[in-house]
Amino acid sequence: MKAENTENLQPKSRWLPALVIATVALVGGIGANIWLNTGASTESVDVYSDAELKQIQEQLVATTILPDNFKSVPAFELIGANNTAVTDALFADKWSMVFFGFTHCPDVCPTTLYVMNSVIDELREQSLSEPQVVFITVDPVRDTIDKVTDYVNYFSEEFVGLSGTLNNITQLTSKLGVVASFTASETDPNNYTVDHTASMLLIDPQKNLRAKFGAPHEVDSIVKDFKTIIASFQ
Amino acid sequence: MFKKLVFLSLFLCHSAFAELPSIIDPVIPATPPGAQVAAGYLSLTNNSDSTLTIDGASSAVAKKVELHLSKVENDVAKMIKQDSVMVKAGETFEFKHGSYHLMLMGLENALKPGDVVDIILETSNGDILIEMPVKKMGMSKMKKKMDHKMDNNN
Ligand SMILES: [Cu+2]
Repeated sequence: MKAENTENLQPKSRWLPALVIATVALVGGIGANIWLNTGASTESVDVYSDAELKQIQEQLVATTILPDNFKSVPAFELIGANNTAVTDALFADKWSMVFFGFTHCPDVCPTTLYVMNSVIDELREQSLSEPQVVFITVDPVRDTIDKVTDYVNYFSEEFVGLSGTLNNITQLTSKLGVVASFTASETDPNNYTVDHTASMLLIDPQKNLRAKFGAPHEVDSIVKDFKTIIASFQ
Repeated sequence: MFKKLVFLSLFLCHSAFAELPSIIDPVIPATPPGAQVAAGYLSLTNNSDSTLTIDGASSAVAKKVELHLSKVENDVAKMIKQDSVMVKAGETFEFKHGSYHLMLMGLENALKPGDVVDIILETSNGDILIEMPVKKMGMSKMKKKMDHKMDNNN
């Protein structure tokens, strides 16, 4: 575990500017466009025609279907509960909803996790198959795995929380087109906030990025769209 | 004596009561264990006949309380510190999920359901002390259906 377990944020202000530049360079600074502009994955086979995808899209309330062969989860190594290594095998053979956030986020991140817990409850109540919910911190220096684990377990003990080295997390976010950009606090140079992708990603059992649920996240529309999507992609 | 009382109450009405802002539904969602930050939500109605500005806030439970705006731009969620917020005469300003919030930073302890947090709002009309109850998430107005379910479980 590389992230130091310390509340002294002083050393971080040194890498912060470099990181901001690196992140901006990676994502081109434009959240919406990167989804479509970066290279398609070569690993999966094109199965759905544009017309088919369009037809699925038309049934969705708050979700964007992504093009076939858009992106898939790359090989990665992160850290899960109790300091165990977690790889991309986590995403094999099941649907997953993935959210990138950080624990120093009192508004958007807890709301999303709360909504996700309600989504799972609702799917369970309707006896439908449930996706696994994965929360990955984009702020691993402050968010040690123990902090992330406590944070996600507060919402549901079934949620998977991941941390890791900053390098490994940045590689994963950039390959998935997820934005994480650090902004130093105006009033406190030792503090910072992290702007991050607001959408939740839906990953299919073949590890392809299938859809993104846009913010604000609402239980009913996510449940409805998830049902439509799993019925459409057999 | 009687006259004096009437005078006093009129005086209070005009210079104090009528001008004090009303605070509606103050709440802080309980924080996950170990969380360093929390958000506070409330609505504030400016009952005076001039614009009220909120210039800052503070609380004993946090190192710092800032006025923040959450917003999503190009699918990127951000929090932006606000130097102040303005509430026009007669209008109501909402601190709510996904929008403006009181950002409590550097919490000493987790905030648990049942706690009450005192927050001082610094306004152009003086400081206002607000007692903010800490409630389990979802017990506010996030999702009515879930409130109902949670009530049943309790
Ligand atoms: Cu904030």
